[in-house]
Amino acid sequence: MSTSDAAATAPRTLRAGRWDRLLGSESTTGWLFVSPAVLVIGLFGVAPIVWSIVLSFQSNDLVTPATWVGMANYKALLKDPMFAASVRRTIVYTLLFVPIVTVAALAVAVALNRRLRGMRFYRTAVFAPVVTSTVATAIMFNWLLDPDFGIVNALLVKLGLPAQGFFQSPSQALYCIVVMTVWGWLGFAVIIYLAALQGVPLELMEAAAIDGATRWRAFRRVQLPLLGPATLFLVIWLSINALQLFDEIYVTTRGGPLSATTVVVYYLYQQAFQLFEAGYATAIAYVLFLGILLLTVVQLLIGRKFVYYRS
Amino acid sequence: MAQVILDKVRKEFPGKPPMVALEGLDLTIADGELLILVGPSGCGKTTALRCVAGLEQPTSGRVVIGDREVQDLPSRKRDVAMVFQNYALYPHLTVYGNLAFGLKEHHVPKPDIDRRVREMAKMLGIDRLLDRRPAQLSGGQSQRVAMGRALVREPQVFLLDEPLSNLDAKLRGQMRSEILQMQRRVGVTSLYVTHDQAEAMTLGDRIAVINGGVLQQLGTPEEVFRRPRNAFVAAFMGTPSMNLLRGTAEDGTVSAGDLRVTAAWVANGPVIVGFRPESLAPAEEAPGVPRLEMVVDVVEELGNETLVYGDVAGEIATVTIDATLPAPLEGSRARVAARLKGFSEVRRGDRLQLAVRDESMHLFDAATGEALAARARS
Amino acid sequence: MSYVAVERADTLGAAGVSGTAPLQGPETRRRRPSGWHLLLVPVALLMIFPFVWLIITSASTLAETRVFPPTLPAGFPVTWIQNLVHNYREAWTQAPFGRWVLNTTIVTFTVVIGNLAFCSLAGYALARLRFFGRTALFLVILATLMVPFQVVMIPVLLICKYLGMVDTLAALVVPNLVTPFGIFLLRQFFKTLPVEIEEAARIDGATRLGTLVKVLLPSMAAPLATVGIMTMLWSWNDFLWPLIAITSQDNMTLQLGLSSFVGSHVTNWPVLMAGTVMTQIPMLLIFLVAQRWFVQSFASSGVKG
Repeated sequence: MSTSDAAATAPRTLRAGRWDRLLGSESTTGWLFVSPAVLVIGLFGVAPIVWSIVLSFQSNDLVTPATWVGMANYKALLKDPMFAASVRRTIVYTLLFVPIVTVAALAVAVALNRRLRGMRFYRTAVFAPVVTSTVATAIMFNWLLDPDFGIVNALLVKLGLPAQGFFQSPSQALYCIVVMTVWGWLGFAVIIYLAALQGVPLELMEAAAIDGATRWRAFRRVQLPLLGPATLFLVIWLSINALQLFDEIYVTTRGGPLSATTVVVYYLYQQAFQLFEAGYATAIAYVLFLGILLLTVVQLLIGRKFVYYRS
Repeated sequence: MAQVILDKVRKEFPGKPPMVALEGLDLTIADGELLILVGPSGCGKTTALRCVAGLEQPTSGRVVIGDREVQDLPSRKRDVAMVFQNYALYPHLTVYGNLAFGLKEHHVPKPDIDRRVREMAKMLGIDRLLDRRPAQLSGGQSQRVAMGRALVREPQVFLLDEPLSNLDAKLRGQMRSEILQMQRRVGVTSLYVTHDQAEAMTLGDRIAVINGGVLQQLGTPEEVFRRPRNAFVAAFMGTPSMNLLRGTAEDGTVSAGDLRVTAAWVANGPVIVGFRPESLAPAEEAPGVPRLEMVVDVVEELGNETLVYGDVAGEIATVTIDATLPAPLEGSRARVAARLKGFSEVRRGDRLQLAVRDESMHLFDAATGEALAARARS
Repeated sequence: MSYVAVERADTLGAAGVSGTAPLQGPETRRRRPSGWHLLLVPVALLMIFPFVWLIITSASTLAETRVFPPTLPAGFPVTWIQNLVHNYREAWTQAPFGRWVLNTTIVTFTVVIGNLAFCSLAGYALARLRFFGRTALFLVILATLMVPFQVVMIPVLLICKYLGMVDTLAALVVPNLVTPFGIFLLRQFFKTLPVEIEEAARIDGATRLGTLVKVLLPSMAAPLATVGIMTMLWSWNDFLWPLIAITSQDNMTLQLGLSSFVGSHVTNWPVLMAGTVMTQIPMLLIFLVAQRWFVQSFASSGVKG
């Protein structure tokens, strides 16, 4: 922006355009281009991150002036049995959701990666749930799994099995959420795996075949290792999203029945917008953030050790 | 070690109309022989190789390895090994892992795997690289690893798909002799595909020239070069290509442009006259042989020889190969290449009298391109 | 080998499948239908079934949904169509779906355009222009990518409150005009473009902005499509932020409105399903038309991840 800056950045072209001459240098242009982003992200990204740290040290109901409580929120979190329960449920959910989606998506992607008739139909069918909103998915599954009039129960009864409570059963509700979200996310994971599979050159599989590998051995020893980066990405991305589960809970069970589906973010929401404890809620959010960060780092470290990256 | 037979192997690819890559190929590769499949791009040589490998299944015909018919067997049961054009090394495995892969798949006991891998690595000079990954290897090293991976399995048949085309010229020459040495040393029946006719000439025990899915000629390098069975083979082998002129035979004399050749046994009608650039010499050196006059256009001094390109009276006979053959000139002039010994004082624009040594002249049927029996004598 | 590879590519369909023919081996290629259908058919059916049932229910009468076991609605196709018309009209009139569609369209459209424009500018600057604090700025932007929305949602709400934006569409647009995801993706892509193109344009007298707009962006269809599509999908389906930022029904977005619709229609399944179908049709239609673009967007954003 200043002339010394201009000298320091040493423009690399022969002739500066009109605007450039007007504004002085690459530096000015740079900041100009970046300014909308800086404005928006600064105001709605960076500032809130900082503010929420402050908020987590307060008791705040979003209406009356806040009071400073120091570490009280965090200390309370450690002792809060409902928070602990929500963490437990979130972990259970994540431990079910991530592996199921990953393994199922791999199988489906391998199947889709062939020359078969009807491939377009299969692909469209698998990908379509990705564009449905969480709300719509929840509504659909609410109806499918309705204990009184839902078609799934009708099928079970027809097969001679007892009708289930599904979303209305405290022991089953969370697992129904798992099924619902697996349905919604499978297509995304399949897309990722398909792209990765197509990145494995055909020649490698031919070489493996000539070397004596059966289809299965070639898959296990050549394709699967080369899918490592995709698997790592999926595990990390799916975990991050699983830990932030909210929308579906809100639309189906509202955290019930009997808090069976109150996961961390739902608990956070309750604290902030039903109990007006915004400070406490923000402390929860920060703990969640730290948890996600920690998990991601661990996954990356493990991944680095076992995953081969092609340069 | 085994004999390989392709018996009327035909390969069609689906389409409207179906694309015929191989039209009933008949080929026998003797035990321990290195046979080269050579031809222009798209001629079917790679398809033939892949049929032997099991990567393609022939539409009809048999493939026999040793005493087994294998055309219905998957690759892994055929006991063949292959070096791919792009090497196809497993990127996530070390060099050791790449070499050991096939042995593991064949359930070779671990200590044997280790011994064989290390021996092969030593033979190929890559024993220092065993812990490296393919991404860290140079082109030549990758090629050696690819060869090692194939040979360590001691296969019955060794297949090579243009293994040298990704290397620079100098390396190519070096690797060529290494491949030859390895093959002789190991003595495995080998099928080698290339589009480079010079490579074919230097490497093979025998050469199979293929074009348009049809075998043109099978023979030793000398046979294929000196006694081409048709105009295609004649033009394909040798650089610069054999000069081919349209001519007419009448009452025992063949005329092509200014060239006059006596060939009493030839039937009247159109013929193709062929003579290699190296069979041309300045007229003074060879009195009494057919001669022609060239207007020199391009002179390339190579040190030990000079390539002279110019036009003569006559009409080029074109055969369907790649586009590197000289194009016919306007009117009734033809572009001809001559290879003269040593330095030459020829300059552009000179009129050069060239003699065509008779023992190197070939006559081909103008309609079919088939070589006409007995050579012309002047 | 080239013609063979081309041949194989031709038969493999648009999305470019790497075939596994050599591993199938001659023995299985005797025109027998592949066993993979056994996996794909149930999976495809499971994926599609909720949609199918959704539509069927929206063509039922209320009484038919209060029967166990549920049956297909009677009277195909005439009664079905009557039901459909009835249910959709009910849904449309009982809640301001039209208004919601308008709101969501305005918000999504603005957010997508904003992102395409501002993320391009920022991504280009971060990739190509040298200015003080560039690296620090990029790291900060990257860091914000890592922070989950729940951490910032309350302060952002408070900021919107102070700016008087709460319960307006502005609250849904302004905070999302630029996303770190878009900046990151585009910056990475800019870096892969050869510098020579820009230098040639500059020598020809173009300004930085001109170069960006006239030379670089036209050749960036794929990453721009990725940013555009991902942003569009995310904005259209966003739920949590509208939930806390919008309170009055008229300002709701489609998904938020739909969830409020559930509350009042929790037992009127046909009408609820009709409402749901209406909210999903836009994205589904775009998806069906531009499936390849969608898939490519997801795939490439995954690769960058």
